Amino acid sequence: MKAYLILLYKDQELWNYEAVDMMLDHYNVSKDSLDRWLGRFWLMEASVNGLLEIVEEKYDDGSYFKEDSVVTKYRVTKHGLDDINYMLG
Amino acid sequence: MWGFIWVIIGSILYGISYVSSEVIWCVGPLPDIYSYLDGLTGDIVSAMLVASIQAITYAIVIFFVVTVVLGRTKDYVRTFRNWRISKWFFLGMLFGGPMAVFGSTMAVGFIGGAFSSAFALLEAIVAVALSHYAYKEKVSKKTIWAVLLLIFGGMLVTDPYTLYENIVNPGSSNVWLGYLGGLMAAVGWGVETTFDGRALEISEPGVGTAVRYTQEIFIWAIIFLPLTALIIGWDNFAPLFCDFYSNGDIWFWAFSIGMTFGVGDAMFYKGIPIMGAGRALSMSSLYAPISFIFLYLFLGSEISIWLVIGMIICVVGTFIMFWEREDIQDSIKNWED
Repeated sequence: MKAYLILLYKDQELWNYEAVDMMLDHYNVSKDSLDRWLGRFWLMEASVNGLLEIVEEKYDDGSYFKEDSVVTKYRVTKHGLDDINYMLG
Repeated sequence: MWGFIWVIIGSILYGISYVSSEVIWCVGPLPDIYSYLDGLTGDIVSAMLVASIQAITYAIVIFFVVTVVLGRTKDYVRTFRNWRISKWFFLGMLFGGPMAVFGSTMAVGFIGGAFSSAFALLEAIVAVALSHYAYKEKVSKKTIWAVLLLIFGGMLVTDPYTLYENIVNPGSSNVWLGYLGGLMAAVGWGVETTFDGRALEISEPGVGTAVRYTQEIFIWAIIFLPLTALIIGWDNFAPLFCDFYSNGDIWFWAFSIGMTFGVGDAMFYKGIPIMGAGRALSMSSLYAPISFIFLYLFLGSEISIWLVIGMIICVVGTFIMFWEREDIQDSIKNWED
């Protein structure tokens, strides 16, 4: 699941809610599942690891994850792309 | 706060697990190993049997405690089948399983639990060196100091005087196998940590660990045990193998190793996301002094002063290495281009 989520970024920029929802759809997991939060966490983790970088942030009015937080748009870094190709190629 | 508690419980359980792994050598067919096989062959085959039963109990415990409780059974099957991901765990497993677990089993068996747990602290050196040379992670000056401290502590742990005595005057015992085992454990776990660290960037710990131990069962069952049987001859191998695997005491202690070590692992993984891998690792190095205390309490093992001093230096070294890294770099890994 985590690998699928990160592979989504291979050739596009995505908002974290878009990527997580694509992942949940792909695996037929309900949108209320805890996995939605786990996906959000994995993306943060990947950005701390240096795989992804933040392109844009916007205010979450409650329609994405929870009110009063930030949703983030990520892009894969050069290092991240090398890593993805090397590890998952 | 919770991260701290998880990691402390985890390292206490790690520490206790060394008691069970020392006791397992005193039950079932193992004390009379020489009545099955002579000398060196007997020693090595018995260490292999212990390592293989540990892989089985770890896999079962981790699968049920972590994977099933987290509800990730489907992911387990998927990760297992997906060779692109599982090959990294497979590589880590080769070093961590046959090399490190087997090595640390030999160290426990031929020298003792305290030596084994203290010497394994040296894995940090291997992990740092490998992540620097193979993956170009930056290594700070502090880390290098910590590595030097670890090497110094490691030399004290091996108790230079006794080591010298053993080499000059080997006697009848195969004590050098214990030192070799300690070295295999440190190198094996160091390499495994590095591979797993990479693999966990793209997969989940709860699932990956279970996959890794399942692969280890296969490698023991399909490659190493049959190979041993071939080399020493089936007629020599079979009676020991059957007595070993049909012995209730052996299974009891193997499961208690699995419960302590495996559940400790699970607690540890729970702590990492909360308090950060670096801090968690340096906290978890406390398992060595804890194992000394429990070995002393339950088995009354004598612990040499060299071992204690060396171990304290190693723990301090691990703390310096990871604590500093965390503070300065704010938990972000640095890469050299």
